[in-house]
Amino acid sequence: MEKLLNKYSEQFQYSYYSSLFRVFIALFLIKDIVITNSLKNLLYRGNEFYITNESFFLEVLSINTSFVRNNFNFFNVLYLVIIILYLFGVGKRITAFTLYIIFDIMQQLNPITLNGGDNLLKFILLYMVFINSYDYFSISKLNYKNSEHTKLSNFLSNLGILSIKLHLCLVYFLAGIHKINADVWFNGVATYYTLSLERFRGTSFNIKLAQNAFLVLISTYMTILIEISYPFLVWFKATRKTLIILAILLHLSISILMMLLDFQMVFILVQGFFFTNKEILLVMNKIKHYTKKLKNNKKWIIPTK
Amino acid sequence: MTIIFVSPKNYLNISLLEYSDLYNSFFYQKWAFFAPPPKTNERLYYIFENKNNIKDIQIFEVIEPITKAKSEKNPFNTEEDLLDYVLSNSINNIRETIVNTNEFIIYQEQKLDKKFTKSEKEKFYDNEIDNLSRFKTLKNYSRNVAIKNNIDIRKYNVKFTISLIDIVPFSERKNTNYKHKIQNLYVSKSFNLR
Repeated sequence: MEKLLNKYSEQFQYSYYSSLFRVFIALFLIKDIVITNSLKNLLYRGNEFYITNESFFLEVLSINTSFVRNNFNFFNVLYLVIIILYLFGVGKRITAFTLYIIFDIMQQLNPITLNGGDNLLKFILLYMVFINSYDYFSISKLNYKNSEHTKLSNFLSNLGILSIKLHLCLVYFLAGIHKINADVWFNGVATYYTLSLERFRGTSFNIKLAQNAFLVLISTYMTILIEISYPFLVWFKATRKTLIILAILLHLSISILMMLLDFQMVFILVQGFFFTNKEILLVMNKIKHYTKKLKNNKKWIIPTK
Repeated sequence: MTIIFVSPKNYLNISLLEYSDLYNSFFYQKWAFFAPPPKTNERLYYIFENKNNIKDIQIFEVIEPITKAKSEKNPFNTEEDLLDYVLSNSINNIRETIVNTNEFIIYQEQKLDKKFTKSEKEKFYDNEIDNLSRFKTLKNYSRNVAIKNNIDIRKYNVKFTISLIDIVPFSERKNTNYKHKIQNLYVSKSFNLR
């Protein structure tokens, strides 16, 4: 146990991807604000046909939900400011926590359009509060004068990363066992029905693909196989890359064929948490070497501490 | 905690049911992902009936045009996508309420050892559905439909119908003469928009 504690406190090996993920997510959330801006009266303010509910979270904080709805423009600007601060790493964990709270309130103000990606993102944002994601792409790093504080920060960060990985594995596992329990998945015909749904007809090929019984069989069983095996095999170096590539392919195909781009994007981005700084930066250096874009052989420095 | 409350129904999470509401208020999550996938496509019909002329009935279906536009404009389909989510999730909410109310009626019939009449059953359904915010959402949407189709809301009453059209079963996929089964899931009472 002590060995594990020491290992988790000594070094935070995921700082590069955590920082990159922070930037991705901030841009992702800004994009959401921009594209839903024209629909804010419908979705958040309750001024149109959509009947909104009270936010449990706001009521717990003794804030009247209708007060927030009536002042939604102000609230939305506040949300945007917090995201921008988060994007640049200003305010570090306090900003991350504030973002999590506001993100949760936004979800409760409009729960009807949420999907699995939004659901997962809420938890990732919570875990990101504990993770030091400010070593890269940030106006400043988290610096502690006291080495014990550094150790605690590393410990929390490593624990946060582990929580993200475990949560992702739990999601796949539950999705997998639910599927096995459903007749159409068990009998290998489920993707015929998903491809035939009008609401999710992402391409004009969906119907043709659905007519191919062999493709339907393979895609149905592959989906179950990936979801069930991922939580167990992703932890081993020998199988990790294969599983992650398969998961990314699965999410890409869903995003294209079923028009669930945002949903799948979150799941694809989360895969990166399985790679340490060393692994990511080695790949990046290889890419730079091959593209020969880097002048004077300047390379990314692989952190050792 | 998460594992307990997000697992499929089992002894442990059923025995902790009273705490699940509290947990879900903060950390709601559902990971069934199309298990099972729907085997039907939805239709939502708004039926406008002229108050003074019983022969003047105008019917508009709203789901199919939205899903078509959503596909055509993909990936620049935010408006259609969100509208589709609002309407379809409202329909699903009513659908779930009907299933739950049906189970409740069966349970009550067994418990009281009596059969409810059709009108008694309808009362149960109305009590549950009429108070749903999603029902009110669909009811309110009729105003948008009226405006879009130049219906004078002073002259018409409106009701809406939710129908489910089955997807051709996998075993029948080559059958070009397959006749779709259409099920009327819900028909609202007629209401005035003014």
